[in-house]
Amino acid sequence: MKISKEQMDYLEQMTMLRVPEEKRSEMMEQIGQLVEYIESLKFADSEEEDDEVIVTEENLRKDEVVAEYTKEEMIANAPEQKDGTFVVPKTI
Amino acid sequence: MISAVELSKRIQNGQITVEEIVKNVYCSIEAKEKEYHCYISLRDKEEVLQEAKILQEEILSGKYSGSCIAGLPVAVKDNICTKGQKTTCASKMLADFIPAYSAEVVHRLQNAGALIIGKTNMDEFGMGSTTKTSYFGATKNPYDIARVAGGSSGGSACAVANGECIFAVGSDTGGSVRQPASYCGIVGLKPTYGTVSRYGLIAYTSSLEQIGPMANTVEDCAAILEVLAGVDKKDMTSIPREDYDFTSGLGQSIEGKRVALPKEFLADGVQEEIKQAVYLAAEYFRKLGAIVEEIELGMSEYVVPIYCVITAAEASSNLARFDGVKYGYRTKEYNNLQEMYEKTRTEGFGVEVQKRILLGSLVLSAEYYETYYIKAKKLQKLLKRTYAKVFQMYDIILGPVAPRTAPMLLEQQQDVLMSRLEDIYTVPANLVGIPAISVPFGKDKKGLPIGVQLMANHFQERLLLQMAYALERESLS
Repeated sequence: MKISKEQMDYLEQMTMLRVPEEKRSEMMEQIGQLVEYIESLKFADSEEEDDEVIVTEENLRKDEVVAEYTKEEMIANAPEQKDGTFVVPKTI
Repeated sequence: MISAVELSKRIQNGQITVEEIVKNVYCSIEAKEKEYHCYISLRDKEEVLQEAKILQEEILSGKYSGSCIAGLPVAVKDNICTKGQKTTCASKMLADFIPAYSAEVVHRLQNAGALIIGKTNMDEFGMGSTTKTSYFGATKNPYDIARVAGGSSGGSACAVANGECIFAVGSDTGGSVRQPASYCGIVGLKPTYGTVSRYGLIAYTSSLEQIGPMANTVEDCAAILEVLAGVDKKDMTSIPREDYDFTSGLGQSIEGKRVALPKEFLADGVQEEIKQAVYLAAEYFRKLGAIVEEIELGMSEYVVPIYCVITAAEASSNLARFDGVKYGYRTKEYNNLQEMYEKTRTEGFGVEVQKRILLGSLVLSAEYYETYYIKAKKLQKLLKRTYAKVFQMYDIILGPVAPRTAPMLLEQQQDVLMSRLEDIYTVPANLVGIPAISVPFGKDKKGLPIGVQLMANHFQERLLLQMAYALERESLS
Protein backbone atom coordinates (compact mmCIF):
# COMPACT_ATOMS: atom_id res chain seq x y z
CA MET A 1 0.00 0.00 0.00
CA LYS A 2 1.49 3.31 -0.98
CA ILE A 3 1.24 6.04 1.65
CA SER A 4 0.01 9.22 0.02
CA LYS A 5 1.35 12.66 0.83
CA GLU A 6 -1.98 13.54 2.43
CA GLN A 7 -1.89 10.41 4.61
CA MET A 8 1.66 11.20 5.67
CA ASP A 9 0.67 14.78 6.52
CA TYR A 10 -2.19 13.44 8.62
CA LEU A 11 0.01 10.92 10.46
CA GLU A 12 2.59 13.61 11.20
CA GLN A 13 -0.12 15.89 12.52
CA MET A 14 -1.45 13.12 14.80
CA THR A 15 1.99 12.20 16.11
CA MET A 16 3.54 15.68 16.34
CA LEU A 17 6.39 14.63 14.09
CA ARG A 18 7.73 16.45 11.04
CA VAL A 19 10.01 14.17 9.02
CA PRO A 20 12.58 16.28 7.12
CA GLU A 21 11.85 16.60 3.39
CA GLU A 22 14.97 14.72 2.33
CA LYS A 23 13.95 11.67 4.39
CA ARG A 24 10.24 11.78 3.80
CA SER A 25 9.92 9.63 0.71
CA GLU A 26 12.07 6.89 2.22
CA MET A 27 9.99 6.94 5.41
CA MET A 28 6.76 6.81 3.40
CA GLU A 29 8.08 3.88 1.38
CA GLN A 30 9.09 1.93 4.50
CA ILE A 31 5.78 2.55 6.22
CA GLY A 32 4.06 1.48 3.01
CA GLN A 33 6.00 -1.80 3.00
CA LEU A 34 5.03 -2.46 6.59
CA VAL A 35 1.39 -1.76 5.83
CA GLU A 36 1.54 -4.17 2.88
CA TYR A 37 2.92 -6.77 5.23
CA ILE A 38 0.26 -6.33 7.90
CA GLU A 39 -2.41 -6.45 5.17
CA SER A 40 -2.15 -10.23 5.53
CA LEU A 41 -4.17 -9.85 8.73
CA LYS A 42 -7.19 -8.89 6.63
CA PHE A 43 -7.36 -12.39 5.24
CA ALA A 44 -6.90 -14.23 8.53
CA ASP A 45 -9.98 -15.83 9.99
CA SER A 46 -10.36 -14.50 13.51
CA GLU A 47 -13.41 -16.74 13.97
CA GLU A 48 -15.77 -15.43 16.60
CA GLU A 49 -13.15 -13.80 18.78
CA ASP A 50 -13.99 -10.43 20.21
CA ASP A 51 -11.51 -7.91 21.49
CA GLU A 52 -13.06 -7.40 24.90
CA VAL A 53 -10.67 -6.72 27.73
CA ILE A 54 -11.78 -7.38 31.28
CA VAL A 55 -10.52 -5.28 34.18
CA THR A 56 -11.04 -6.73 37.63
CA GLU A 57 -11.83 -4.56 40.63
CA GLU A 58 -9.13 -6.24 42.74
CA ASN A 59 -6.34 -4.73 40.64
CA LEU A 60 -7.33 -1.13 41.33
CA ARG A 61 -5.75 0.69 44.23
CA LYS A 62 -7.58 2.96 46.66
CA ASP A 63 -8.15 6.47 45.40
CA GLU A 64 -5.95 8.17 47.95
CA VAL A 65 -3.05 10.56 47.61
CA VAL A 66 0.30 9.07 48.45
CA ALA A 67 2.91 11.80 48.27
CA GLU A 68 6.16 10.06 47.45
CA TYR A 69 8.12 12.80 45.72
CA THR A 70 8.72 16.48 46.29
CA LYS A 71 7.86 19.14 43.75
CA GLU A 72 11.55 19.88 43.41
CA GLU A 73 12.36 16.27 42.52
CA MET A 74 9.61 16.15 39.92
CA ILE A 75 10.61 19.40 38.27
CA ALA A 76 14.35 18.73 38.30
CA ASN A 77 14.40 17.38 34.74
CA ALA A 78 12.41 20.23 33.21
CA PRO A 79 14.10 21.76 30.15
CA GLU A 80 13.03 25.16 31.45
CA GLN A 81 11.48 26.00 34.80
CA LYS A 82 10.60 29.07 36.84
CA ASP A 83 9.38 29.31 40.42
CA GLY A 84 8.44 25.65 40.49
CA THR A 85 6.54 25.69 37.21
CA PHE A 86 7.29 24.30 33.74
CA VAL A 87 7.98 27.09 31.26
CA VAL A 88 6.51 26.63 27.78
CA PRO A 89 5.86 28.95 24.82
CA LYS A 90 2.88 31.24 25.23
CA THR A 91 -0.30 29.59 24.05
CA ILE A 92 -2.85 32.35 24.55
CA MET B 1 32.86 -19.08 34.11
CA ILE B 2 31.31 -19.17 37.56
CA SER B 3 27.67 -18.87 38.41
CA ALA B 4 26.19 -15.95 40.32
CA VAL B 5 24.65 -18.27 42.90
CA GLU B 6 27.98 -20.00 43.54
CA LEU B 7 29.80 -16.67 43.85
CA SER B 8 27.25 -15.37 46.32
CA LYS B 9 27.67 -18.54 48.41
CA ARG B 10 31.44 -18.00 48.46
CA ILE B 11 30.93 -14.45 49.73
CA GLN B 12 28.60 -15.68 52.46
CA ASN B 13 31.18 -18.37 53.39
CA GLY B 14 33.98 -15.85 53.54
CA GLN B 15 35.91 -17.46 50.67
CA ILE B 16 35.87 -14.27 48.62
CA THR B 17 35.00 -10.64 49.29
CA VAL B 18 32.61 -8.34 47.46
CA GLU B 19 35.54 -6.00 46.89
CA GLU B 20 37.51 -8.72 45.09
CA ILE B 21 34.58 -9.50 42.83
CA VAL B 22 34.03 -5.82 42.03
CA LYS B 23 37.73 -5.36 41.22
CA ASN B 24 37.60 -8.38 38.94
CA VAL B 25 34.54 -7.08 37.14
CA TYR B 26 36.09 -3.65 36.67
CA CYS B 27 39.22 -5.32 35.28
CA SER B 28 37.03 -6.88 32.60
CA ILE B 29 35.37 -3.53 32.01
CA GLU B 30 38.72 -1.79 31.64
CA ALA B 31 39.92 -4.46 29.22
CA LYS B 32 36.80 -4.79 27.08
CA GLU B 33 34.31 -1.98 27.46
CA LYS B 34 35.91 0.43 25.01
CA GLU B 35 35.70 -2.16 22.26
CA TYR B 36 32.34 -3.78 23.05
CA HIS B 37 30.34 -0.82 24.39
CA CYS B 38 28.02 -2.73 26.72
CA TYR B 39 27.27 0.26 28.93
CA ILE B 40 25.74 3.68 28.41
CA SER B 41 26.73 4.77 31.89
CA LEU B 42 28.98 3.22 34.52
CA ARG B 43 29.29 4.17 38.14
CA ASP B 44 32.63 5.39 39.36
CA LYS B 45 34.82 2.44 40.42
CA GLU B 46 35.91 4.00 43.72
CA GLU B 47 32.33 4.77 44.68
CA VAL B 48 31.33 1.18 43.94
CA LEU B 49 34.27 -0.17 45.94
CA GLN B 50 33.20 1.91 48.93
CA GLU B 51 29.72 0.45 48.66
CA ALA B 52 31.24 -3.00 48.28
CA LYS B 53 33.03 -2.65 51.64
CA ILE B 54 29.78 -1.70 53.37
CA LEU B 55 27.96 -4.58 51.69
CA GLN B 56 30.68 -6.99 52.75
CA GLU B 57 30.20 -6.07 56.41
CA GLU B 58 26.45 -6.32 56.10
CA ILE B 59 26.67 -9.74 54.49
CA LEU B 60 28.99 -11.05 57.20
CA SER B 61 26.64 -9.66 59.86
CA GLY B 62 23.87 -11.80 58.37
CA LYS B 63 21.77 -9.03 56.86
CA TYR B 64 21.42 -10.81 53.51
CA SER B 65 21.53 -14.39 54.74
CA GLY B 66 18.53 -15.47 52.61
CA SER B 67 19.80 -13.85 49.43
CA CYS B 68 21.38 -15.71 46.48
CA ILE B 69 22.68 -12.52 44.89
CA ALA B 70 24.08 -10.49 47.78
CA GLY B 71 27.33 -8.76 46.93
CA LEU B 72 27.11 -9.34 43.20
CA PRO B 73 27.66 -6.57 40.64
CA VAL B 74 24.62 -6.30 38.37
CA ALA B 75 24.01 -4.33 35.18
CA VAL B 76 20.58 -2.84 34.52
CA LYS B 77 19.16 -2.12 31.08
CA ASP B 78 18.91 1.60 30.49
CA ASN B 79 15.12 1.69 30.15
CA ILE B 80 14.75 0.79 33.83
CA CYS B 81 14.68 3.82 36.12
CA THR B 82 17.48 4.21 38.66
CA LYS B 83 17.08 7.12 41.06
CA GLY B 84 19.87 9.64 40.72
CA GLN B 85 21.48 7.84 37.78
CA LYS B 86 20.82 8.66 34.13
CA THR B 87 18.20 6.53 32.39
CA THR B 88 18.32 7.27 28.70
CA CYS B 89 16.50 4.47 26.83
CA ALA B 90 19.47 4.89 24.44
CA SER B 91 17.73 7.95 23.02
CA LYS B 92 18.64 11.58 22.47
CA MET B 93 15.18 12.28 23.89
CA LEU B 94 16.30 11.14 27.37
CA ALA B 95 20.06 11.58 27.06
CA ASP B 96 20.26 13.69 30.23
CA PHE B 97 17.23 12.34 32.09
CA ILE B 98 17.83 11.48 35.76
CA PRO B 99 14.82 9.73 37.34
CA ALA B 100 13.47 10.88 40.70
CA TYR B 101 12.65 7.31 41.59
CA SER B 102 13.86 3.78 41.03
CA ALA B 103 11.97 0.98 39.38
CA GLU B 104 10.48 -1.67 41.65
CA VAL B 105 12.97 -4.24 40.35
CA VAL B 106 15.86 -1.94 41.29
CA HIS B 107 14.55 -1.77 44.87
CA ARG B 108 14.23 -5.55 44.93
CA LEU B 109 17.77 -6.04 43.67
CA GLN B 110 19.15 -3.57 46.20
CA ASN B 111 17.11 -5.07 49.05
CA ALA B 112 18.64 -8.45 48.18
CA GLY B 113 22.13 -6.94 48.42
CA ALA B 114 23.01 -6.74 44.73
CA LEU B 115 25.32 -3.94 43.63
CA ILE B 116 24.16 -1.96 40.61
CA ILE B 117 27.22 -0.83 38.69
CA GLY B 118 25.88 0.56 35.44
CA LYS B 119 23.16 0.99 32.82
CA THR B 120 23.43 -1.05 29.70
CA ASN B 121 23.10 -0.22 26.03
CA MET B 122 19.98 -1.12 24.09
CA ASP B 123 18.03 -0.33 20.96
CA GLU B 124 16.35 3.06 21.28
CA PHE B 125 13.25 2.68 23.46
CA GLY B 126 13.55 -1.09 22.97
CA MET B 127 12.75 -0.86 19.27
CA GLY B 128 15.13 -3.14 17.47
CA SER B 129 17.05 -6.38 17.73
CA THR B 130 20.69 -5.35 17.30
CA THR B 131 21.37 -2.20 19.46
CA LYS B 132 22.19 -0.45 16.18
CA THR B 133 19.36 2.01 16.80
CA SER B 134 20.98 3.19 20.05
CA TYR B 135 21.77 6.92 20.03
CA PHE B 136 25.08 5.97 21.66
CA GLY B 137 26.19 3.39 19.10
CA ALA B 138 25.91 -0.38 18.89
CA THR B 139 27.17 -3.06 21.25
CA LYS B 140 29.45 -5.66 19.66
CA ASN B 141 29.09 -9.39 19.93
CA PRO B 142 31.39 -10.89 22.60
CA TYR B 143 32.40 -13.70 20.21
CA ASP B 144 33.05 -11.52 17.17
CA ILE B 145 33.39 -7.74 17.29
CA ALA B 146 32.30 -7.48 13.69
CA ARG B 147 28.87 -8.76 14.70
CA VAL B 148 25.94 -7.48 16.73
CA ALA B 149 25.16 -8.50 20.28
CA GLY B 150 21.46 -8.68 19.49
CA GLY B 151 18.72 -6.59 21.03
CA SER B 152 17.19 -4.80 22.40
CA SER B 153 18.94 -5.94 25.62
CA GLY B 154 22.24 -6.37 23.76
CA GLY B 155 24.31 -4.39 26.24
CA SER B 156 23.11 -6.53 29.14
CA ALA B 157 23.79 -9.78 27.24
CA CYS B 158 27.29 -8.79 26.19
CA ALA B 159 28.15 -7.48 29.67
CA VAL B 160 27.31 -10.85 31.20
CA ALA B 161 29.20 -12.79 28.52
CA ASN B 162 32.24 -10.53 28.87
CA GLY B 163 32.36 -10.70 32.66
CA GLU B 164 31.63 -6.97 32.83
CA CYS B 165 28.99 -7.82 35.41
CA ILE B 166 27.96 -11.04 37.16
CA PHE B 167 24.39 -10.90 35.94
CA ALA B 168 22.05 -8.39 34.34
CA VAL B 169 18.41 -7.51 33.91
CA GLY B 170 16.82 -6.69 30.59
CA SER B 171 13.33 -6.19 29.24
CA ASP B 172 11.58 -8.43 26.72
CA THR B 173 8.77 -7.14 24.49
CA GLY B 174 9.18 -9.54 21.55
CA GLY B 175 12.37 -11.42 22.38
CA SER B 176 14.61 -8.63 23.63
CA VAL B 177 16.04 -10.70 26.48
CA ARG B 178 16.07 -14.10 24.76
CA GLN B 179 17.51 -13.18 21.37
CA PRO B 180 20.58 -11.26 22.63
CA ALA B 181 21.08 -14.02 25.23
CA SER B 182 21.14 -16.49 22.34
CA TYR B 183 23.55 -14.37 20.26
CA CYS B 184 25.89 -13.91 23.24
CA GLY B 185 25.84 -17.46 24.60
CA ILE B 186 24.10 -16.81 27.93
CA VAL B 187 20.74 -17.64 29.51
CA GLY B 188 17.85 -15.19 29.20
CA LEU B 189 14.39 -15.58 30.71
CA LYS B 190 11.10 -13.80 30.02
CA PRO B 191 8.63 -14.48 32.84
CA THR B 192 4.84 -14.84 32.63
CA TYR B 193 3.28 -11.43 32.01
CA GLY B 194 2.48 -9.79 35.31
CA THR B 195 5.11 -11.69 37.31
CA VAL B 196 7.63 -8.86 37.54
CA SER B 197 6.50 -5.30 38.22
CA ARG B 198 6.81 -2.89 35.29
CA TYR B 199 6.82 0.13 37.63
CA GLY B 200 9.80 2.17 36.55
CA LEU B 201 10.24 0.35 33.22
CA ILE B 202 9.93 3.07 30.59
CA ALA B 203 7.08 1.77 28.51
CA TYR B 204 7.26 0.67 24.89
CA THR B 205 4.48 -1.94 24.61
CA SER B 206 2.86 -2.12 28.01
CA SER B 207 0.72 -5.19 27.33
CA LEU B 208 3.61 -7.38 26.18
CA GLU B 209 6.79 -6.46 28.02
CA GLN B 210 8.38 -8.04 31.06
CA ILE B 211 11.68 -7.51 32.82
CA GLY B 212 13.76 -10.67 32.96
CA PRO B 213 17.10 -11.95 34.26
CA MET B 214 20.15 -12.55 32.05
CA ALA B 215 22.94 -14.67 33.47
CA ASN B 216 25.44 -17.43 32.77
CA THR B 217 23.35 -20.32 34.07
CA VAL B 218 19.75 -21.46 34.33
CA GLU B 219 20.09 -21.71 38.11
CA ASP B 220 21.19 -18.08 38.24
CA CYS B 221 18.15 -16.96 36.25
CA ALA B 222 15.86 -18.96 38.53
CA ALA B 223 17.39 -17.43 41.67
CA ILE B 224 17.32 -13.91 40.25
CA LEU B 225 13.69 -14.29 39.20
CA GLU B 226 12.79 -15.17 42.79
CA VAL B 227 14.20 -11.76 43.74
CA LEU B 228 12.54 -9.81 40.94
CA ALA B 229 9.09 -11.40 41.03
CA GLY B 230 6.26 -10.24 43.24
CA VAL B 231 2.99 -8.37 43.17
CA ASP B 232 3.30 -4.60 43.18
CA LYS B 233 0.40 -2.25 43.85
CA LYS B 234 2.13 0.41 41.78
CA ASP B 235 1.71 -1.74 38.64
CA MET B 236 -1.89 -2.67 38.02
CA THR B 237 -0.90 -5.41 35.60
CA SER B 238 1.11 -7.09 38.34
CA ILE B 239 -0.49 -10.44 39.19
CA PRO B 240 -0.37 -12.15 42.59
CA ARG B 241 0.87 -15.70 42.02
CA GLU B 242 0.24 -18.74 44.17
CA ASP B 243 3.96 -19.19 44.75
CA TYR B 244 7.25 -17.66 43.84
CA ASP B 245 9.37 -20.79 44.02
CA PHE B 246 11.33 -21.12 40.80
CA THR B 247 14.33 -23.06 42.07
CA SER B 248 13.02 -26.17 43.83
CA GLY B 249 12.44 -27.98 40.53
CA LEU B 250 16.06 -27.66 39.41
CA GLY B 251 17.73 -31.06 39.24
CA GLN B 252 14.48 -33.02 39.48
CA SER B 253 13.79 -35.76 36.96
CA ILE B 254 11.99 -34.75 33.77
CA GLU B 255 10.95 -38.29 32.94
CA GLY B 256 7.52 -38.38 31.39
CA LYS B 257 7.43 -34.67 30.63
CA ARG B 258 5.95 -33.93 27.24
CA VAL B 259 7.76 -31.70 24.77
CA ALA B 260 6.18 -30.31 21.60
CA LEU B 261 8.37 -29.48 18.61
CA PRO B 262 6.42 -27.40 16.06
CA LYS B 263 7.32 -28.46 12.51
CA GLU B 264 6.96 -24.90 11.20
CA PHE B 265 9.72 -23.76 13.56
CA LEU B 266 12.24 -25.82 11.59
CA ALA B 267 11.08 -25.07 8.05
CA ASP B 268 13.19 -23.48 5.29
CA GLY B 269 14.96 -20.29 6.20
CA VAL B 270 16.44 -21.49 9.49
CA GLN B 271 20.23 -21.77 9.60
CA GLU B 272 21.11 -25.48 9.33
CA GLU B 273 23.25 -25.56 12.48
CA ILE B 274 20.37 -24.06 14.48
CA LYS B 275 18.01 -26.76 13.19
CA GLN B 276 20.53 -29.41 14.20
CA ALA B 277 20.88 -27.86 17.65
CA VAL B 278 17.12 -28.02 18.20
CA TYR B 279 16.98 -31.64 17.02
CA LEU B 280 19.87 -32.45 19.34
CA ALA B 281 18.06 -30.78 22.24
CA ALA B 282 15.06 -32.99 21.42
CA GLU B 283 17.36 -36.04 21.57
CA TYR B 284 18.75 -34.96 24.92
CA PHE B 285 15.22 -34.60 26.27
CA ARG B 286 14.36 -38.11 25.00
CA LYS B 287 17.52 -39.47 26.62
CA LEU B 288 16.37 -37.96 29.93
CA GLY B 289 13.03 -39.72 29.63
CA ALA B 290 10.88 -36.94 28.24
CA ILE B 291 8.49 -37.56 25.36
CA VAL B 292 9.16 -35.35 22.34
CA GLU B 293 6.65 -35.11 19.51
CA GLU B 294 6.46 -32.98 16.39
CA ILE B 295 3.26 -30.95 16.10
CA GLU B 296 1.57 -28.52 13.76
CA LEU B 297 1.24 -25.33 15.79
CA GLY B 298 -0.62 -23.05 13.39
CA MET B 299 -0.91 -19.29 13.06
CA SER B 300 2.83 -18.87 12.59
CA GLU B 301 2.38 -16.70 9.50
CA TYR B 302 0.38 -14.15 11.50
CA VAL B 303 2.41 -13.76 14.69
CA VAL B 304 4.78 -11.13 13.34
CA PRO B 305 2.10 -8.95 11.67
CA ILE B 306 0.01 -9.14 14.87
CA TYR B 307 3.08 -8.12 16.87
CA CYS B 308 3.89 -5.29 14.42
CA VAL B 309 0.43 -3.78 14.80
CA ILE B 310 0.12 -4.07 18.58
CA THR B 311 3.63 -2.78 19.33
CA ALA B 312 3.32 0.14 16.90
CA ALA B 313 -0.08 1.10 18.34
CA GLU B 314 1.07 1.01 21.96
CA ALA B 315 4.39 2.69 21.20
CA SER B 316 2.56 5.49 19.45
CA SER B 317 0.52 6.03 22.60
CA ASN B 318 3.30 5.50 25.15
CA LEU B 319 5.78 7.79 23.44
CA ALA B 320 3.27 10.65 23.11
CA ARG B 321 4.44 11.79 26.56
CA PHE B 322 7.80 12.92 25.16
CA ASP B 323 7.04 16.50 24.19
CA GLY B 324 9.86 18.56 25.65
CA VAL B 325 7.69 20.09 28.37
CA LYS B 326 8.32 18.32 31.66
CA TYR B 327 11.48 16.28 31.05
CA GLY B 328 13.77 15.13 28.31
CA TYR B 329 15.09 16.85 25.23
CA ARG B 330 13.67 20.18 24.02
CA THR B 331 14.56 21.69 20.69
CA LYS B 332 16.55 24.93 20.86
CA GLU B 333 14.60 27.14 18.46
CA TYR B 334 10.87 27.40 18.06
CA ASN B 335 8.25 30.07 17.50
CA ASN B 336 5.27 28.45 19.18
CA LEU B 337 4.19 25.41 21.16
CA GLN B 338 3.25 23.34 18.12
CA GLU B 339 6.65 23.91 16.57
CA MET B 340 8.31 23.06 19.86
CA TYR B 341 6.49 19.73 20.01
CA GLU B 342 7.23 18.80 16.40
CA LYS B 343 10.87 19.78 16.35
CA THR B 344 11.53 18.27 19.79
CA ARG B 345 10.07 14.91 18.81
CA THR B 346 11.59 14.83 15.32
CA GLU B 347 15.04 15.77 16.61
CA GLY B 348 14.78 13.70 19.79
CA PHE B 349 13.65 10.36 18.33
CA GLY B 350 15.65 8.20 15.95
CA VAL B 351 14.31 7.05 12.58
CA GLU B 352 13.14 3.61 13.73
CA VAL B 353 11.20 5.07 16.64
CA GLN B 354 9.56 7.66 14.39
CA LYS B 355 8.61 4.94 11.91
CA ARG B 356 6.86 2.87 14.58
CA ILE B 357 5.07 5.88 16.02
CA LEU B 358 3.78 6.83 12.55
CA LEU B 359 2.70 3.25 11.81
CA GLY B 360 1.03 3.06 15.21
CA SER B 361 -0.93 6.18 14.49
CA LEU B 362 -2.05 4.72 11.17
CA VAL B 363 -3.31 1.45 12.66
CA LEU B 364 -5.19 3.40 15.34
CA SER B 365 -6.68 5.95 12.97
CA ALA B 366 -10.44 5.92 12.45
CA GLU B 367 -10.06 4.65 8.88
CA TYR B 368 -7.91 1.62 9.73
CA TYR B 369 -8.61 0.87 13.40
CA GLU B 370 -10.98 -2.02 12.74
CA THR B 371 -8.96 -3.38 9.84
CA TYR B 372 -5.65 -3.59 11.61
CA TYR B 373 -5.75 -2.97 15.36
CA ILE B 374 -9.01 -4.69 16.28
CA LYS B 375 -8.22 -7.54 13.88
CA ALA B 376 -4.78 -7.96 15.45
CA LYS B 377 -6.30 -8.08 18.95
CA LYS B 378 -8.84 -10.70 17.85
CA LEU B 379 -6.11 -12.79 16.28
CA GLN B 380 -4.02 -12.41 19.44
CA LYS B 381 -6.89 -13.99 21.35
CA LEU B 382 -7.03 -16.81 18.83
CA LEU B 383 -3.28 -17.29 19.22
CA LYS B 384 -3.72 -17.58 22.98
CA ARG B 385 -6.35 -20.29 22.45
CA THR B 386 -4.04 -22.08 20.01
CA TYR B 387 -1.24 -22.20 22.55
CA ALA B 388 -3.64 -23.13 25.37
CA LYS B 389 -4.70 -26.20 23.34
CA VAL B 390 -1.04 -27.22 22.90
CA PHE B 391 -0.39 -26.90 26.63
CA GLN B 392 -3.32 -29.20 27.37
CA MET B 393 -1.25 -31.95 25.76
CA TYR B 394 2.32 -30.79 26.34
CA ASP B 395 4.42 -29.28 29.11
CA ILE B 396 6.96 -27.45 26.98
CA ILE B 397 7.32 -26.14 23.43
CA LEU B 398 10.86 -26.45 22.06
CA GLY B 399 12.29 -24.45 19.19
CA PRO B 400 14.97 -22.03 17.99
CA VAL B 401 15.35 -18.55 19.44
CA ALA B 402 16.28 -16.95 16.12
CA PRO B 403 16.53 -18.14 12.50
CA ARG B 404 20.25 -17.39 12.40
CA THR B 405 23.21 -16.62 14.64
CA ALA B 406 24.45 -13.06 15.18
CA PRO B 407 24.55 -11.06 11.93
CA MET B 408 27.32 -8.70 10.87
CA LEU B 409 27.32 -5.20 12.31
CA LEU B 410 27.84 -3.63 8.93
CA GLU B 411 25.31 -5.80 7.17
CA GLN B 412 23.32 -3.81 4.62
CA GLN B 413 20.17 -2.39 6.15
CA GLN B 414 17.77 -5.26 5.79
CA ASP B 415 14.50 -5.10 4.08
CA VAL B 416 12.12 -3.74 6.77
CA LEU B 417 10.22 -6.99 6.61
CA MET B 418 13.21 -9.30 6.98
CA SER B 419 14.23 -7.63 10.20
CA ARG B 420 10.75 -8.32 11.55
CA LEU B 421 10.91 -12.01 10.57
CA GLU B 422 13.93 -12.43 12.84
CA ASP B 423 11.48 -12.26 15.75
CA ILE B 424 9.20 -15.04 14.57
CA TYR B 425 10.09 -17.54 17.31
CA THR B 426 10.20 -15.15 20.22
CA VAL B 427 7.14 -12.91 19.78
CA PRO B 428 4.52 -15.61 20.45
CA ALA B 429 5.53 -15.84 24.11
CA ASN B 430 4.93 -12.11 24.52
CA LEU B 431 1.65 -12.11 22.60
CA VAL B 432 0.34 -15.04 24.65
CA GLY B 433 1.92 -13.86 27.94
CA ILE B 434 3.71 -17.13 28.69
CA PRO B 435 7.20 -17.65 30.11
CA ALA B 436 10.08 -18.51 27.78
CA ILE B 437 13.80 -19.05 28.15
CA SER B 438 16.82 -19.09 25.86
CA VAL B 439 19.46 -21.68 26.79
CA PRO B 440 22.90 -21.67 25.11
CA PHE B 441 23.32 -24.84 23.09
CA GLY B 442 26.50 -25.09 21.13
CA LYS B 443 28.02 -22.93 18.45
CA ASP B 444 27.93 -22.76 14.68
CA LYS B 445 30.90 -23.29 12.33
CA LYS B 446 31.97 -19.67 12.83
CA GLY B 447 32.08 -20.16 16.59
CA LEU B 448 28.93 -18.09 17.19
CA PRO B 449 26.60 -19.15 20.01
CA ILE B 450 23.30 -20.86 19.29
CA GLY B 451 20.40 -20.72 21.73
CA VAL B 452 17.40 -23.02 21.96
CA GLN B 453 14.10 -21.75 23.32
CA LEU B 454 11.70 -23.42 25.69
CA MET B 455 8.20 -22.07 26.34
CA ALA B 456 5.79 -23.18 29.06
CA ASN B 457 2.24 -22.34 30.00
CA HIS B 458 1.31 -19.34 32.13
CA PHE B 459 2.82 -19.44 35.63
CA GLN B 460 4.82 -22.60 34.86
CA GLU B 461 8.26 -21.04 35.40
CA ARG B 462 9.26 -23.76 37.86
CA LEU B 463 8.62 -26.45 35.24
CA LEU B 464 10.21 -24.34 32.50
CA LEU B 465 13.36 -23.85 34.56
CA GLN B 466 13.40 -27.51 35.56
CA MET B 467 13.42 -28.53 31.90
CA ALA B 468 15.96 -25.85 30.95
CA TYR B 469 18.24 -26.92 33.77
CA ALA B 470 18.08 -30.55 32.68
CA LEU B 471 18.95 -29.58 29.12
CA GLU B 472 21.79 -27.36 30.26
CA ARG B 473 23.27 -30.11 32.48
CA GLU B 474 23.00 -32.70 29.74
CA SER B 475 24.66 -30.43 27.21
CA LEU B 476 27.56 -29.72 29.58
CA SER B 477 28.13 -33.37 30.55
